Amino acid sequence: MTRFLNFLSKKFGKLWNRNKKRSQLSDSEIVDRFLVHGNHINTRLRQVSYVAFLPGPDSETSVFRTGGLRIEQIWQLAIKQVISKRQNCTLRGKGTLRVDQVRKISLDVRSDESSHELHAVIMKWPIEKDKRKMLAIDLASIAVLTTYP
Amino acid sequence: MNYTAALSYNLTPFRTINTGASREAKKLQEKENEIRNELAFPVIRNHINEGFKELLDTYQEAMQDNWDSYGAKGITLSTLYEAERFLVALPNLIPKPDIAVEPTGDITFIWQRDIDHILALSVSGNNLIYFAGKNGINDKTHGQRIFNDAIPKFLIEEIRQVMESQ
Repeated sequence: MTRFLNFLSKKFGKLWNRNKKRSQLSDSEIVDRFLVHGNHINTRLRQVSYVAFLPGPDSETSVFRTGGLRIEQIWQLAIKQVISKRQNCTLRGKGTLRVDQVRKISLDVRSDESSHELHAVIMKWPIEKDKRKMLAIDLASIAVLTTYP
Repeated sequence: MNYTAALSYNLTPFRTINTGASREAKKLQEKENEIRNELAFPVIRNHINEGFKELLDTYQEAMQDNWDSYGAKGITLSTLYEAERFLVALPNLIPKPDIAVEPTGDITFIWQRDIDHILALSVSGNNLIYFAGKNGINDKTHGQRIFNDAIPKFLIEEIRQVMESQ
């Protein structure tokens, strides 16, 4: 019996660990928030607006894990996973963050593969509106804006 | 004195020399200077008129739920009315804010000089102002205050400081 369990552990353990590893985001990983509303970009300062990072009704901010993807692949991902699934929605750009920057201000990022394997969410938002606003302002000040060509 | 009443004056009824020496007279003089300053820059009031137009555009764009494609709530009429009252309550000399909507349907007024100087004040139709901002990298502020048609003085001061160089 023990030998059998060891066999199973060896056989499937690696697979389990690989999946577990993939679902955890490392500090150095890059995530992108796709900007789909005029509200999301401060054109005067060429900066992502804090409004873009505020969480939705589910208290999470949707992002995608884009590290290792080429820029064309990232735009394709945005169009396929965000734009095509919504009405009257225009891709305007993306705000890029590194996971450790998010964690540094007491938020966290976790994988959420329910809609796509590269989908993730920024979580642990406080309940208070003013605190959320403050954190979103912090995120906006470190995010790198890339406008959609 | 409200804004309409203030407008009904022109600048001439005020005496230019204050002959009073009492504390009250000094206070009156300060008040007079305040009103003079307000009325001396009617062009600034245009910012507020522009603000109303922007507010209506914003409302029309985000009155439906999911306006941002991420499941945001739409702006309610009570939020719109409160935002209008907020605009009216802004002193004349304050620069025009950017107006935006948050995913909660709150209307937000943003004063931003650069990446590290920003103040965002939002209303959501419940007589509260939610604010957050920073005036430099380490000087952060956030909280909420009751809004009864007057914007708390310290928030006006915060706006001035954030926009100081403009």
